[in-house]
Amino acid sequence: MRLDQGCFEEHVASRPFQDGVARGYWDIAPRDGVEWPYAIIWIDAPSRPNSPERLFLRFHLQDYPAKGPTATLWDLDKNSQLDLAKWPKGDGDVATHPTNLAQTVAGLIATGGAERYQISTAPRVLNTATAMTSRLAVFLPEAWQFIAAF
Amino acid sequence: MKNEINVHFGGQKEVCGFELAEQETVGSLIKRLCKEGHLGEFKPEEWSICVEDSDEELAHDCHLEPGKHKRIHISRCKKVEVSVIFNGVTQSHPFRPGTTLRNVIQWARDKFTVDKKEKLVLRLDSPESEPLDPDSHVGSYVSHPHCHVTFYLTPSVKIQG
Repeated sequence: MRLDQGCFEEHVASRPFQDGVARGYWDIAPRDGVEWPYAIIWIDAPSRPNSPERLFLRFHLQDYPAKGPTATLWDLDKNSQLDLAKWPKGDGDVATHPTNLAQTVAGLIATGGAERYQISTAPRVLNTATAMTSRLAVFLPEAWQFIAAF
Repeated sequence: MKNEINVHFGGQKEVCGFELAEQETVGSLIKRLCKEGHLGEFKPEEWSICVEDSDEELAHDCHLEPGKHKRIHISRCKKVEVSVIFNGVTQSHPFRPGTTLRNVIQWARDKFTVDKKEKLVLRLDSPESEPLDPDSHVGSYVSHPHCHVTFYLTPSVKIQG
């Protein structure tokens, strides 16, 4: 297994990520044909009329975690980026353009999240994404050093 | 894991997962955690367990069931005196250690009669510090014998996209 993939899988198996799984906040979305360096993670969506219960983020994780991943909202059925019309609408206080959200998520992973975006301030879709990514990021340095030692 | 239970500890932010033994009781779990070194050098009878967001303390002979007791809090504080400061006014209330900050925010929202649409967060130390995880437990912010914590209730700051 590649080093970056092993590190990602270790983080996904870690308690902070699994705690979110136990609470029903997020999990890996199994799908045929998704191969490394890609991974799809679903996050629970805000409860709103005509909105999906889950949103899917496809991460590109090449050289994780040395390089910050990129991510975009994904249509699991079509296996393509989610149509712009279906992107979640915030409360007017969050950028909803896909490029911005992708950059946001990627940036959050790279920087630890909470330093740049306060988790509790975002609509729930981004809130959960930021929580997910920042919690992953919390484990980055230590886990990476552990793996690198071998 | 099928029989795993999520355990929050008093004074600690991390959550641990433990596999429940057959016919596990609160008392036997505490003894096991003491034996394995998770609870320091304190005696098993000093610890109490409550279920997340439940107002009941579980008796030591209570059988633990993964479906019923998914997430528990183990602490030496039986109650945590929580003070919340909002706009310079302080309100206090004793909560079980396993109470989530989400519930504390709800309580504070009612106490301070804040509009339901207003997004609120709790912060430790100062109104400018990082927002706390609403799923964390109040017991995670205190260490026995100091079973008191003060939070700042503030509106969320809007993100500049």
